[in-house]
Amino acid sequence: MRQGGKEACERVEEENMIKVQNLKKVYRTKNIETVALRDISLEICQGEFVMIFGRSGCGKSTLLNILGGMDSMTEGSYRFQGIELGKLNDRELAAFRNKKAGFVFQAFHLINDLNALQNVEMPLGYAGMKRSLRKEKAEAALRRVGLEDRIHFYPSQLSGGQQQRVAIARAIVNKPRVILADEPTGNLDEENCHSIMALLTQLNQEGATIIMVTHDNSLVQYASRVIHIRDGEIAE
Amino acid sequence: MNLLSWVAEVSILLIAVGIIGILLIFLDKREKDIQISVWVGAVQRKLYVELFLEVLSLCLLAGGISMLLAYFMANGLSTSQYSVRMSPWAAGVIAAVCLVIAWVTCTVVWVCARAEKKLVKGWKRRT
Repeated sequence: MRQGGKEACERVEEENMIKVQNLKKVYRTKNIETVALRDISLEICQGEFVMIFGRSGCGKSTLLNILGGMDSMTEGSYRFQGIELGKLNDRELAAFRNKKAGFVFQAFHLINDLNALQNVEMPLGYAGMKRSLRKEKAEAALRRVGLEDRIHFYPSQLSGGQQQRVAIARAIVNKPRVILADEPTGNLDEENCHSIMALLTQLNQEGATIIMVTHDNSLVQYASRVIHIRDGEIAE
Repeated sequence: MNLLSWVAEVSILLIAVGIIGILLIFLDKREKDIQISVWVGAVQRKLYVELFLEVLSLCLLAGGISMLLAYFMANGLSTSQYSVRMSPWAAGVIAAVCLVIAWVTCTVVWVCARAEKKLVKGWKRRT
């Protein structure tokens, strides 16, 4: 595991970016109640590379979705830079997802009808940025991930690794405070996997906070801190 | 002739329902794109406007083609007994039908999506 992590976080308390206390998530259908997360408390600092590690179905993706403002919690408190996300309305949450968080998914989740440049431009469009500036920033983000020669390619014309790079460019184009990655290497071969992890590490070294979900033990080496989740609880 | 016009009106109604069905299938396929837009920060109202404009342009395109076809076919359908022609009134009716189809389709999609909590997962605590 890389140096840094919780010790540094404790030293500089004011840099606590994410503070979760007693978080609980329950999924309820008509007759069934499933507790996905229980009593989760954690703190994540600016500049950390945190890996949320656990088996399939242990609740790690649910936790990531809640941290990214994509899902609600049932109980508890979640503060991002001092702001309680549970009190934000839909419009404010959309702004949070747009400006403060960048998402990278296992299945890339690119829009097939848009080329790489247009996919990367999307968050900027929703932020209300002018078209010329959007293009400039999206091109810079694609250059940053090494795809400057593929900007007009559609997702179907790109390899898995390249699609994930486009997804990372889309995640970083708005310069978010935190990048949330849900098994970003799950659909990639070993070579592409390590290339994507190297890219994420580089982004982290440049100051981005990264929270990544994985069940792959070999990726733990890239993180500055690992949070183990077992049956919906933190098992440290 | 009265009977024929009734048949025509029922046919138009059935066609309108069919078009709404096709648009709903088309929009269902767009669900993933909508979800991605939500993840990258789209607000509900903007998405609704985007959807509406897209469906409206499709409807207006279909309406335009219908008007052109009606205009060119009118002479062929006319007989010495009964004159068929494309009037401004008929054009207005087609445009209005297009507008209604677009609005109904978007509203149905939006209401269904919100009800199923598929489109936008809001933060408000739901237990």
